[in-house]
Amino acid sequence: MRRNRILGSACVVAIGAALAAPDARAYCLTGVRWPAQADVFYNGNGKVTTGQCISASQMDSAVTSGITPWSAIRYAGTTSKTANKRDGQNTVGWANLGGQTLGITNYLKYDRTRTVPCGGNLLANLYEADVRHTTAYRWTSGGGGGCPCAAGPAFYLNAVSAHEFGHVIGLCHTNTPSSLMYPSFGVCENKNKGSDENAGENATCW
Amino acid sequence: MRKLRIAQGAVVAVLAVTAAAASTVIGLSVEDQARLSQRVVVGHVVKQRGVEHPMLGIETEVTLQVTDVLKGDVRRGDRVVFHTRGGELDGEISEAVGEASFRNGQRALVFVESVEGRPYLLGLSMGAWDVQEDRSGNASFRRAVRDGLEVYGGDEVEMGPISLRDMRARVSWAERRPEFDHPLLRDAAIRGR
Repeated sequence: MRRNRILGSACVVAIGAALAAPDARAYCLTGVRWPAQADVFYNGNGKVTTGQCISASQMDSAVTSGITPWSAIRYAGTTSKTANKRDGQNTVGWANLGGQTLGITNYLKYDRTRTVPCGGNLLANLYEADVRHTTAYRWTSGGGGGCPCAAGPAFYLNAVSAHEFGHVIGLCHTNTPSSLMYPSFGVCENKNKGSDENAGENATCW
Repeated sequence: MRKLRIAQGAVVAVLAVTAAAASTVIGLSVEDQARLSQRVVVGHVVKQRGVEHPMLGIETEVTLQVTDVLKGDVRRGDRVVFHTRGGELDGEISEAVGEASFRNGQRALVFVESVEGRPYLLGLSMGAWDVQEDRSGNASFRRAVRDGLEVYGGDEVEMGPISLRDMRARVSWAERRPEFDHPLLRDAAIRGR
């Protein structure tokens, strides 16, 4: 089905105001922002706990730890609601996403008719977004488990979660290999929110 | 690796909402994609409709009329149905970032996997290829990745063009040699849960 892309289709990369500075780093904005701090709820049902590098509770912590670095969103507790349903609630949950997909972010509601000024940009207000992590791969976390663990190599759930929530707050990918929002991670490669993402978040007026 | 186009100059005044944030996939070779796929077919998109999965939310059911079969129990002229992980239903829209977007009548090469018995495009838009034909009618394919797609892996992701003849040969080769190229996928315990 053709997606409704009223506001365009190009991924625009915004360069911070300190473009000329040697350490200037790129960030990328999807074109949306949260008009107010948004609550994000976690549904831990369906996660696979066997064969992981970390315990079930560590998996839960790793997922929610991806929310906390971002000022525009906050962890608000658990829910029984399902991700990728337009229900007025931002939900992160689990699903089998197949053989090649680790995580999906869905924008479910944003203002398609007007934009609001934010610094030098015009952004659309975002009202609902959901995240799903896959049950099909092995996870570890920076909070324990190591990598590779006894079970084998894994992906850092805290990093993937933080990356997905970077999209939730309005960031897309950069071409800075060390940044959280760079479109390539290695197995057992952990990343955290850094200066790129801070600048990007600031550019969404948060 | 796909490189983002960096706008030269200062802050861009109006930002387009892209394919909505982005999602995360593993960068795989064409051969590994073929190994993961139940069907690899070329065809014309004849129908798309939004559906709601009780646990997975709004999706798009895509129907493809097959013109070429590279893998799978399907014949030319058959219709193949698969799903993408977002869509529009009853006026409600869910945009899965990095997911492929088709138009009716479009010719495409698709890698279709079975996830718990339900057919999906493999790896969001990593599983979709645009079809081009030269003056002689020879088809070739370019990967139709969408902006915002996350490539999760250290290897270069081949974008094409790949001719139909070469693609057919590579998919066939992958069928005969089931061992995955990607070391992660060789670890059977990490996938196929």
